[in-house]
Amino acid sequence: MRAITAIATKDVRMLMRDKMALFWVFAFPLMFALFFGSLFGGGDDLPGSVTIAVVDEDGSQLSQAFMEQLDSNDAIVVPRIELPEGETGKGAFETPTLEAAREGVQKGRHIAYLRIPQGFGDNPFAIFGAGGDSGEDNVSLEVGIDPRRKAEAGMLQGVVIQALFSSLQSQFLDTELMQGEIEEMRAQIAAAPDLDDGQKSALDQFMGSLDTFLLDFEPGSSEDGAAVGLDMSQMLNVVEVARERGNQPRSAFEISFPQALVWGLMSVAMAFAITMVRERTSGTLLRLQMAPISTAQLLAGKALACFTASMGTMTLLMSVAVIALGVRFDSFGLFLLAMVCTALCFTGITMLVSVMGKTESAVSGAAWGMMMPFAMVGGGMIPLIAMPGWLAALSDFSPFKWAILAVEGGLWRGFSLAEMTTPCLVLIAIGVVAFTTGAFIFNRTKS
Amino acid sequence: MIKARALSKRFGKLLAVDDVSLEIHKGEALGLLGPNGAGKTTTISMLCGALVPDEGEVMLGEESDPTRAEVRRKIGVAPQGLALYEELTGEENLRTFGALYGLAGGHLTSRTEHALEFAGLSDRRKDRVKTYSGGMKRRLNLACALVHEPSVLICDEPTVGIDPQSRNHIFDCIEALRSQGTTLLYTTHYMEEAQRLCDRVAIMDHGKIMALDTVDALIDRYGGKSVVRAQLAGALPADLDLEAEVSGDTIRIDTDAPFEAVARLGRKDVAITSLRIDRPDLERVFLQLTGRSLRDS
Ligand SMILES: Nc1ncnc2c1ncn2[C@@H]1O[C@H](COP(=O)(O)OP(=O)(O)OP(=O)(O)O)[C@@H](O)[C@H]1O
Ligand SMILES: [Mg+2]
Repeated sequence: MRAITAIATKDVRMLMRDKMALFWVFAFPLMFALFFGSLFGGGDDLPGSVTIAVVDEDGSQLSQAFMEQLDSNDAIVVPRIELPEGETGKGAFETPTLEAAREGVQKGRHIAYLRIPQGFGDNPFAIFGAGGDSGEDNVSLEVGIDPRRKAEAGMLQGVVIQALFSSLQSQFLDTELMQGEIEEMRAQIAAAPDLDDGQKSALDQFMGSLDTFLLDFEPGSSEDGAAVGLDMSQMLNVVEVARERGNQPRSAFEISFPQALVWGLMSVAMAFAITMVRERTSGTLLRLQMAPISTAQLLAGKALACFTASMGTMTLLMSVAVIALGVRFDSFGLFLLAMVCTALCFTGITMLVSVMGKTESAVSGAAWGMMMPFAMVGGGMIPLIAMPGWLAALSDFSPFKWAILAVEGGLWRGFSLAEMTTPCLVLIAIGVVAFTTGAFIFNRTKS
Repeated sequence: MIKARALSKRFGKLLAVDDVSLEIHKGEALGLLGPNGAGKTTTISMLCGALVPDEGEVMLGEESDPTRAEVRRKIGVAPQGLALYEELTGEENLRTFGALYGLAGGHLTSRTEHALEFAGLSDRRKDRVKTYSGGMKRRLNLACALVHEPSVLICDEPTVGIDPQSRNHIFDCIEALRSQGTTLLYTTHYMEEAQRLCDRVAIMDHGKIMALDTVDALIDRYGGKSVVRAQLAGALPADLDLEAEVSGDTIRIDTDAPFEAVARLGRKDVAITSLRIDRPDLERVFLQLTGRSLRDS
């Protein structure tokens, strides 16, 4: 084992020092993923701006103000109806039903929905005391979002509450409007049949003082809603709306990154196939053969190095996708399984490619010649979901297709373990056959 | 320690090694001296198991199979071509090869240290091999064969293309190893090296061993006579009683006893302006055996 890791360590180390190889292994696939990802509108799903459908059941002036307030936040987009040709300005907000909005979240058309319940505008302050035990007259705001989108959910809560306070405040400070409402309320109080005179006069007095309070109020003296000491967890009712599995990628990056992974792996395979030949041409293979290790150990060391580099490449590329581009996994476990099977497959391919010539140029030529067509038909250029029928049928013969399929399966296709089995078995089978063939040829041409 | 019996190896039509038998005793230094293409590398490749002989067999100690791990652990080979990872540092090369021979932990570190000192590369240990000079690479190539403390060291022309200083450094190191009891098989086409380092020398040409014996025995047997050349200042006395060729003012005497011949010239009061004695050496042995000069071939 020590000998195997010694070989693997030195091979990985040498790869890391080969700047040209690193470019093809990492930088080029990353550029590919970013270019094609953004070309096809990959960025719609970025955490930078989150699209939310607002279900305005209230339809009041306040709810409109609230929506404007939300939309004015850079982090949030509230969809508007497109204006007819020629008109300028902003269109009205879309008014989906709760059903439609919920479905939109499930299908991934928008990240979340926000429901403004009926009665919100009549008594916006009810929100502050809402929830509790009486479910019926629950006037709390409702946010529907996939439970996996923790970061977005957190951000959304903050933004919604902030917008709520801003809109309430501006409404509240629209003193003329408020005074009108107070007058109306006073009249209502006076007319209320189930209040006794004492209560009526107390309320009337309160309304009167509120009236004068409003006249003295200076806008901007208290901007922070939290400072009032309200319990905000009651205002927002977060509902889990699971995104439906197995249909659409959430962004074009979820298409371009799996492709980038296989381009990266192809470069890893090229680089390692060449190191095998280089062992031969630099004479170090002679040393390896004279060392007290078996051919099996030697090949195992090479395979370990290649596997490690493959996993490293995929991890690095996916980290960029996850951290910088908000790519998320349907199932991280299955994605990991896909990654392992893909790495095994390409390790086998590397072994086979490495014995296809005796010189570096022969091997790299043979490797390109063999892998490029597979990459082209296997979804390296044309995404699997965009393939015409004949190409899709042809792609079954390419290991690249199975690698991309498996990776996408864990990423956005929502594969079950059973669905994952087929591509994974195909990948392992290709890997094993290629490796055995390569090892056999290597053994025969050793000296 | 190493025994080869009737080894033959053919590459296509070419018989590179032809019925070679030799034995290297424990602690001995055996030189394989021959011109380019003589079959030296092919022979040692078979001895260390890197190449399978077409005929014959190799015994290492009690083992008949030089490809077994336990046997290989005892052997260190410095190949003729540099066999190093250019992208790794000197230290990393040594550590990698040490680990392949099963060294680990503190032992690997101390052996690596030792090998770096041996190669005189302690101060360049962190530099990549591709930045080394040719001589440094040569020294490292040899050190990589030694990192696992083999009891048998096989060097295939370890001094090709290096300056006299590096060469002397290598000689000193090999002599130090010999004094510790390491068995040595050394191929070269420099007779001075064979003469200085080896107890016994095998003269090889066209895949065959022409002669194998101690340096002195080879010279005695094949070296012929010493040659005394003198430039005369005056006339030669008539009663010299030496078999000498005279041409112009120089005299040449072929003799087994060169000092006796010079003494005799002195006794006869021969006036000499310059004198040169050529003792027979391995070069002459080679010439005698093959009809060619080592340097020409
Ligand atoms: N792998 C090979 N394939 C074909 N011919 C070979 C091979 N290896 C060696 N030979 C031939 O065998 C003969 C002996 O070669 P070898 O390398 O053993 O010579 P050598 O004594 O080591 O010479 P040098 O001093 O140049 O290293 C040469 O004629 C060489 O061309
Ligand atoms: Mg040679």
